[in-house]
Amino acid sequence: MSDQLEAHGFIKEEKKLHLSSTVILFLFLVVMVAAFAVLSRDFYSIYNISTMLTNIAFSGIVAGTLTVVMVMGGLDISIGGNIALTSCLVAYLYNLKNPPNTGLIIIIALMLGAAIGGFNGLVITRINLNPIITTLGTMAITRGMGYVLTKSRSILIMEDVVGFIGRGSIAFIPFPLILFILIFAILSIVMDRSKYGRKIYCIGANQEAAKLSGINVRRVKFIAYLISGIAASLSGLILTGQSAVGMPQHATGSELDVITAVLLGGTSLAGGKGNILGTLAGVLILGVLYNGFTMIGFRYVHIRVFQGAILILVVALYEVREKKAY
Amino acid sequence: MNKLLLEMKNITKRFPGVLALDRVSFDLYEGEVHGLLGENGAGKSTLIKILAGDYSKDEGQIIINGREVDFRSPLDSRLMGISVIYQELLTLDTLSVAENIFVGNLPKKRGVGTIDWKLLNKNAKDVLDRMGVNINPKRIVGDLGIHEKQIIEIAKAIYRESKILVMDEPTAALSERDIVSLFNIIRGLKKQGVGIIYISHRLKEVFEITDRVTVLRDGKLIGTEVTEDTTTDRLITMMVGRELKDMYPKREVPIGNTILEVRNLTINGIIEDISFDLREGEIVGLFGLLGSGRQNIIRAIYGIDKFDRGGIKISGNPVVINTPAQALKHKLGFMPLDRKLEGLALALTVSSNITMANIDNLGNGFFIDRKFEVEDAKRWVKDVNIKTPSIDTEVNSLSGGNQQKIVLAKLLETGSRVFIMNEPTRGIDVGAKVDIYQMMEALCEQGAGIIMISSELPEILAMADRILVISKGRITGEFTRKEATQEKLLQAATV
Amino acid sequence: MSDTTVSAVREERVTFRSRLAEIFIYGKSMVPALGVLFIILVVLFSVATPNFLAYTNFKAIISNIPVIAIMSVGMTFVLLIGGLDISVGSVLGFTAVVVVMFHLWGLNAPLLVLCSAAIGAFFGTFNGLIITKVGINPVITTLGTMALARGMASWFSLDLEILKEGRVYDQNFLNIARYYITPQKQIIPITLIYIIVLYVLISVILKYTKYGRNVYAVGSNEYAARLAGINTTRIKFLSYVISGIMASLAGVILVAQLSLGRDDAGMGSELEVITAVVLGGVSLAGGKGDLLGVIISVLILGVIRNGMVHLQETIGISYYWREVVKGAILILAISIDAARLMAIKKRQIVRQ
Repeated sequence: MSDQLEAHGFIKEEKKLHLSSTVILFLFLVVMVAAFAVLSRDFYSIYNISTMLTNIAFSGIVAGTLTVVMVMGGLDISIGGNIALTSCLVAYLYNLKNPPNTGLIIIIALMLGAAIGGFNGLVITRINLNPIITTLGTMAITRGMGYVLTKSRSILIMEDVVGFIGRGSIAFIPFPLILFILIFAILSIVMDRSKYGRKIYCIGANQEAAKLSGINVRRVKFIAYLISGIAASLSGLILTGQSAVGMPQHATGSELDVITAVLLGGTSLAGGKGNILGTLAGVLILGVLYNGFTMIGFRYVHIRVFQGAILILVVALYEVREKKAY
Repeated sequence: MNKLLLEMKNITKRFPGVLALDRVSFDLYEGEVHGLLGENGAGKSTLIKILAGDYSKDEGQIIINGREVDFRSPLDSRLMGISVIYQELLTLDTLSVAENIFVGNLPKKRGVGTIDWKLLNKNAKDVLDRMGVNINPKRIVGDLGIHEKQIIEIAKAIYRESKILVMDEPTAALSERDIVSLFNIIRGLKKQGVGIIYISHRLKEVFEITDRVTVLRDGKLIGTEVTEDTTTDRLITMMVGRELKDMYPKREVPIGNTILEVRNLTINGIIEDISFDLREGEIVGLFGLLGSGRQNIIRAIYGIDKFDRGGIKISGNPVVINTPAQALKHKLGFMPLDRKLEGLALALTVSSNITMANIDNLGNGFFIDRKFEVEDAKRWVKDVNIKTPSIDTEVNSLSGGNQQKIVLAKLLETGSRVFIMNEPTRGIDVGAKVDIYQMMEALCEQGAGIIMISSELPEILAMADRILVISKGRITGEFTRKEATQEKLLQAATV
Repeated sequence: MSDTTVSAVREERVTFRSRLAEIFIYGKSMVPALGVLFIILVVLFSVATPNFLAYTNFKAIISNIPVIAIMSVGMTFVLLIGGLDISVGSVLGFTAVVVVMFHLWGLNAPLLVLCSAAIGAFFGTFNGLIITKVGINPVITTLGTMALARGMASWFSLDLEILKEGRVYDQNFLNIARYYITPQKQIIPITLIYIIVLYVLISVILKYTKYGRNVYAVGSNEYAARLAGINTTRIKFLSYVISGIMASLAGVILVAQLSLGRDDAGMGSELEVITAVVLGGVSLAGGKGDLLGVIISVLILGVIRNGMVHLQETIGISYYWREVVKGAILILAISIDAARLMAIKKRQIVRQ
């Protein structure tokens, strides 16, 4: 039967579909950028582009690691809470009577991320829990701890210490953007060419088969959640640096953005399919979209409504396309 | 003269690029068991899916009780009195036996309109009694075994007064005793005038229970014969299109040193004191009924399940195997029971699947050496005769036989010396079976040892050098190939 | 001498842990376990804080649970069919804002309730259609709806500045939640009556009607249910509609209790609702569970919340630990659910 299929080029056609979807995304991006440049005079300013790219970098970093988690078949909704708690912790530490030095604070923040990610990973792999609801719980726990730490107030950071991470730049390129490009490059190589990346795809495609093939599923999953946690706290550092404030309300709703970006990029919820390049397209498109809308005059609340609609739209489009191809 | 229940005339079905069925005709009389045979990809499941209403036909007619019908959905088919019992049973595991049998049609109290639970349970008991089966209707179905679940599916069909019953590989997961029980039920259904379409790869059963048998090949109807008047060879020839005298290889491989020793393997309450040796070039068969414990034994050896007592030695050295990864390190390979669920990642490519168990060895360091991987994949595709357009094809587009070969290739890629093969030819066509037998022979020639679990008596009698019979968790018999007969094996298995 | 005491203690612990496992994990129903847990919590809190067992405190607990209790009924329907709805909190919030808005425009109490139910039905229909007709994963769908509803709530309350301080003064409306049976003596709050009636009614529907049994069938094995002639699409769709309506009605109760509706109303409540339902024995896998466990679970959560407020007054544990506790209990609840599912699987894996 497969010979007949081959003879009619049926199987080869499938591959073409996948390639072109990423190309389509980038084309769409170009069109969007052009449209916004026309619609709004301020869109093309260096200040705006810089701000936009920094925001993209902020959510992009977590989107990258979330891609790894989602290709593996998991999900991490706790990133928002992680970011909030990180910012609260950093601000809290800075305001102690004898604050530790910046380097130490950064390390502590990243360790916090690792702890949260590690907790997620441990609980999900050892007790075999539903990742969605588990990370929902972790989100509440982390954000809640942010409230406890700050007693529900915002903590200002008076000195411009962590600012470099959020607002600094090297050779006119914003520092967050540099981090973003670096991390994406690394993740891309890991997913496409490394043994670990291959294991991620195998687990996402069929966890049981992966286990029987000798892949240490628990460890691979744990590491994925771990790096997701670290990336989130890195994002938290950027955000704290940008805003110079630590508050438990930070990053509310950010998980929605990030998940939308990853899904837009072609990662399948079921696992086993997706790549970093697609997520890059997704992150860029969403970033340009939100920035563009703001430039045109929409307010934050309007954009929040859009967020929900876009998520459903994106997934619906992919769903419909899957059905047609079958 | 029995009434004609079903006529399928000149059914044609096309998929993109494939002609799945080419003017196939099939009919079924009251009270008859009509077997449907054919290799994988021959069109059997397409024909049945059309009858079940899951697929639509492109051309042809379906006539039931003299009236032409057109199914738009599986429900239409059910309403016309057709019931299909798939291999993957469709039971509602969180509900009771009675609720399963009457699902969607629970009896109501007169006047009030609420569910009458007492009546429901009584009715269920009646149906089961009529079938001659004793199951408590209040039990939760999830707690029951496969044979009982099948009975519930049949009971559902009886309650719905289905006249046409399709059974797809019903005995694949049953013990010999359950098969006897099932065949009794089938005979009872025949007496009631039910027509049964019986799909199976097990020719022995086909000869035992069917009245007629139809063979499909490559989407075409090859022929319909009366079971009494035909032979195994004839049927195989019809299925494969060529004479297949020697399906099984000669098996004249010299036996070498001991490579695996299992001693006193025990899981409390499940298996006890399992001890045996495996030598180079040898195939040891494990025969037994369902529930005998064979799966537990090999899962314990391969490190999937824990065991309470006992030990394993490889080439004379005691080893500790607690995970599949450790087993693979000791060159112990495992072919799982269900290739789709446990053996393959259907969404990934052929090469990704073949190398799945050997990822850490695809090059030094952190990265995968793509050249190395491609070489290996291509080599196995050639050696194991896997029919695929390319090594980058997604595995879910290949046939069952080729998928099983990919699982085998995955094991070969790991360089294992001891292979545990779990029903290696279950659910695959005759052509692929032959290929796998030849591979097993080739492995033995290279000095590997194979533990083979098989429930097909002809297969295990032909392939194994020694056969261990397992019953209720213990070894109840050991026979060399010369000594073994079907009767002796079955007797030891039912101890 | 000391050896014997040590070994005695160790023995006790082993049996305690295994008994714990027996109740929570191996029992057929969660109800006995939950009952025990409830009693233990009540005892603990009444020892740790004064006035816990007073009737006024009982009324305080009761007044805190209607919102969660009502939404839990809707969530039960959704979980039973094997789905999930995380938009309930946002639907509640949107309803709260709209209630205030419509009240400003002059609608009376009955109309306000009707409109709210309509809003809930609208969101439920939206969810239901997308999940059943387009076929999108329920989590993603309701995640999107959650953002949509919350965004719209913020949008509306922004555009109508007065909503920021908008209050509802209609006594008829407020009495929806504030009325007492025997209004003078203030003994039984009407919300308690709502809960009892709702739970009894829905329990009867789930156990004794064709629709109810079909819900279980769909959750147990959707394809098999469809083949039996059950309209699985409609049943799944209805579950989401019910969930939406319950969320909006809970919003009505909330506004009636507080007399104000803000756009952040109900934020985070989806977490509590899921916790209550899963802890109550309704499995995430679908097809299993009933309301008796859910109501006890809701009471347990109410007792914990109330107890924590007391603890803040007496021991000084910050109120902000509440969110953390919420998340921790959720993870605990799904752990128990997972353990129960695993125990069933273990029982099924016998000799093969």
